[in-house]
Amino acid sequence: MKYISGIIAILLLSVFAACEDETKSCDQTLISDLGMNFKKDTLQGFLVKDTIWPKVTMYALGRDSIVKKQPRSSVFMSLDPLADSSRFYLKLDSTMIPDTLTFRYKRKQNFVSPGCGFATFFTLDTVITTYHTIDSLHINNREVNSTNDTHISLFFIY
Amino acid sequence: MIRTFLYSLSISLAGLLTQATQAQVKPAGDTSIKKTAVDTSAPKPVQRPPATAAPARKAADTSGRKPAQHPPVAAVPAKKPDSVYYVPGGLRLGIDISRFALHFFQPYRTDVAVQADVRLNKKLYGAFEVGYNRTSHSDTSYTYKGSGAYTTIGVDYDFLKKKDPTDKNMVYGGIHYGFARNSYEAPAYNIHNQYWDSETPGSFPKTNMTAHWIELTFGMRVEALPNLFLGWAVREKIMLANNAAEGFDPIIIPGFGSGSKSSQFDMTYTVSYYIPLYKIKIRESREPKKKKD
Repeated sequence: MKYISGIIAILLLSVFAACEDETKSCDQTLISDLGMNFKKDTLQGFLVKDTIWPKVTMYALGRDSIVKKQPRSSVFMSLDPLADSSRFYLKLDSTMIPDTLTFRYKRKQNFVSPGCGFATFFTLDTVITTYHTIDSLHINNREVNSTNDTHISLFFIY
Repeated sequence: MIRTFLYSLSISLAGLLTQATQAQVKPAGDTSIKKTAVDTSAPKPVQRPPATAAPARKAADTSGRKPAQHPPVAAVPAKKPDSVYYVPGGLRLGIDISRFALHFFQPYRTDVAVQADVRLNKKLYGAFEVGYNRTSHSDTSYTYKGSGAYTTIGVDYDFLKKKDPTDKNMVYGGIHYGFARNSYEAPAYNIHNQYWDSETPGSFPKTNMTAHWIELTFGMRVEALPNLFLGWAVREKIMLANNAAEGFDPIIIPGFGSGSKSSQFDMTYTVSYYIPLYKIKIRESREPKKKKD
């Protein structure tokens, strides 16, 4: 009997959750952005660590900046929902030569949640990059959906 | 959240009040039962077990004829006949009023649910529920329409130990199987991308789906007025399978709840009327239960 108040509290909380108006809230992290992180590769792949670049600038060609001269260890970008490929400019430091990344993908419209409505999900086919600063690239997850993953890892040797 | 809290609180209080009312009404009946129990114990010393008569007959038989030698018979108490009594059986038909309150919190859904149960034996009840759901939502990014029906069927076990066998109150736990058929569509949606400054309009055609789930129930039903019952129950529903369209889960699966969740908690508050239809014969042994060594 001493647990009865706790049980009632749990039940009431569960009822709150069950009665929640799901169309009123949208978790913004559910937006389907492509995530990319930076890794420093030393000892030829035997020691790989996350790295922060001091002045990262990134934008889709012909569009506004996503990031402009900010210290970052990862970036999230939105792929073009009206085309099957997107090209991005990436400069990691003011002294580094910029790289260009090209993403080719398939698109599909999905229902995310009652609060968020529909979103375009992407399935990556190929990723092409220049190798001025980037040493190598690894696709961790081809499905760009609402899971908020890191889909691409960029490796650098310096 | 405050409205939800008040709603839940009022339901809990209403349940407690009905219980309290029942508790105030019952004591008179309870004491009468106790009295009869005392009365039946009174004539016990008068009754002699048949085995005690045998030694007396043996003492009177003094003729020379030798009686056949029988091994001494141990006194075997006569087996008491089983207690047979009848309990009322019938159909309890009710409407779940919490579905109407739910529309207040989730305006996009309209639900109607009818519950019924029939007594199968002393403790077991067959439970049945049918319902209908209509979901309609419209905002700046999409419109949604859905409608469907569901049914659940299962058994409820009454945990309440009743002093009066005609008592129809219940504290029960049960397991039900649920099945729903739903059709839904998104007549129009628009995906706006701020970075690319793009609009992607589209629509999702009408889709039919079915769902199967299991629900575990715990609740009580109290006879507030003769044959009129008030009852609440909590239910945990676990989805077994559904064939919703890939990339487009329904907002609501009728009877289950949120279409994107694999389990769902729910609470019901039912007003029901009991229709007495038959009586169930209960046979119970009056022998004292054997104690385990």
